Amino acid sequence: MWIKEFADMRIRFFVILFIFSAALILFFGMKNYITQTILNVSLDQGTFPLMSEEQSRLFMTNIHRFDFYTASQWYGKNFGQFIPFIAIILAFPVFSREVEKKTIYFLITRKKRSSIFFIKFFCGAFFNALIIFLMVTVPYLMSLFTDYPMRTDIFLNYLLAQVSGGSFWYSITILFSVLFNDQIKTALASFGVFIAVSVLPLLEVLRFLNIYSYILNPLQHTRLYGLVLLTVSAILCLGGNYIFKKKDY
Amino acid sequence: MALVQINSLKKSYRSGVRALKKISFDLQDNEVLALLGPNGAGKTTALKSIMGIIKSGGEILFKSRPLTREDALQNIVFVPEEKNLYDHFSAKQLSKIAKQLTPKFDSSKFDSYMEVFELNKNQKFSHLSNGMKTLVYLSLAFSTDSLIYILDEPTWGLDPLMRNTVLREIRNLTFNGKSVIYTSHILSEVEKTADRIVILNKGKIREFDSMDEIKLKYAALSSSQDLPSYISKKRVSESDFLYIVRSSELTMLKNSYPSARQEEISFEDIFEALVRRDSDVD
Repeated sequence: MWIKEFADMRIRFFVILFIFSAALILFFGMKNYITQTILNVSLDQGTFPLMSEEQSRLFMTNIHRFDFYTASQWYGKNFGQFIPFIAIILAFPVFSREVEKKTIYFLITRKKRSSIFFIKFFCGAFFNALIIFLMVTVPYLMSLFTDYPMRTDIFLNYLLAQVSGGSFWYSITILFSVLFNDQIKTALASFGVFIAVSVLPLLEVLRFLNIYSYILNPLQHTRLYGLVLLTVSAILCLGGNYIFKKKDY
Repeated sequence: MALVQINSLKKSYRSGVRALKKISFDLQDNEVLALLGPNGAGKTTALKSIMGIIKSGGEILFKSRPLTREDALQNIVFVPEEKNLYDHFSAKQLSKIAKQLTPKFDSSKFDSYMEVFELNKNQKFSHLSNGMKTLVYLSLAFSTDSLIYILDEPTWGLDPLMRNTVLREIRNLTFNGKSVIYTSHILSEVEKTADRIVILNKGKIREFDSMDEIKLKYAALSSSQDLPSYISKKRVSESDFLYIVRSSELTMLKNSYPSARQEEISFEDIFEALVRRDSDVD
């Protein structure tokens, strides 16, 4: 069954991997051009929006450094912001497509539902984590050959934040994929939660819901946030398994 | 002792539809049991309940103890109404997946079924006709060793020649100690294949017996008069009606209405009468 799951996911996996590999190559290949463009814009405007003068000065000084450029522009923006979308795209059809196409009967009448659930869940989770791992690790490894190698603790912080953030979005989408019998509803529900989690933190009491803030800038949070996200992902996984075992098909 | 005993099986959907209304029947060893009924009669719901795909009320016993989902996985092979599999895989790849899903799957048996059904196992599932898809699904099912085979419309989309081959294979299963429950809309094939028949309509069992016994239970009378008791009434000419009545009432009706003539009755007449049931008899 692993072979089937890998085959089901391979197109989505390779397309996403191809897009972000191309983005990675362009992003670091054009580093000098991009940093110069950022500096030109900032010189025109004096300071960056939402930054103090001191912060703007530090930003302009450090943007040439490979480690700073990677953390602020790749982890913290160009790759990091897409992590929820990668997870949702990988997860939304996992169960709902089987139900929609009625192929679910082939599986649940031959193997225990728990086994099916965990094989499907972990196969997608592996691909999701693999993409994130590669996109976080490759720039770190590249940085080791530059004048400004990234500190390992900073790399590990980003790795934990982005893998745990990706796992959260993957797990919640899997839960919806089990709950809903069609793919559109699953995708819409996931994006609905994504919008809610992006908007609700505007309220002071719900600031902790700002998962993006952690994914993009884990250095301003404790590692506990990542561990909580992994725990919530595990709970969502168990919840999905429970619903899958009880559900009528 | 019945292999599977179903007692007061009931199922209501959230939409409010009562798909099964306390039905009871059994499956014996080495038996082909056919479930017949119009669309929406509850056949598929009954099969899914036995397989544990849906939860339902009542009691399902396997060898006199409650049938668990584990029992179902170990002892039942299920072919659903929709013979959908993974479009991007060939039959050969699908057999590998089946082998990974259950150790009871025999790949060499699958290869021989592919030959019997004249199928190319390297062809992608999406490139097959509906009938061929049914045959691939059946090959996967027949190649899995099990005690019970539940087949929901196993001859759907098949040409008459292949349909006969499949019916022969279904019959052969019982010669090898297996039992089969299957549904069909084709009455003639049920007449040829099934040992016993359950006729379902609107979630209720209208008849459950062997073909011969069912035929003995009913009779056809044609009359221009209104008969007081009947299962169904159909106009056959300007003045005459064809009544399907219970055999137990035949003598009384013939004595009371001497002009009523007894006609030959077919299984199709009985089935139609039971599912249309426009009488006051319940």
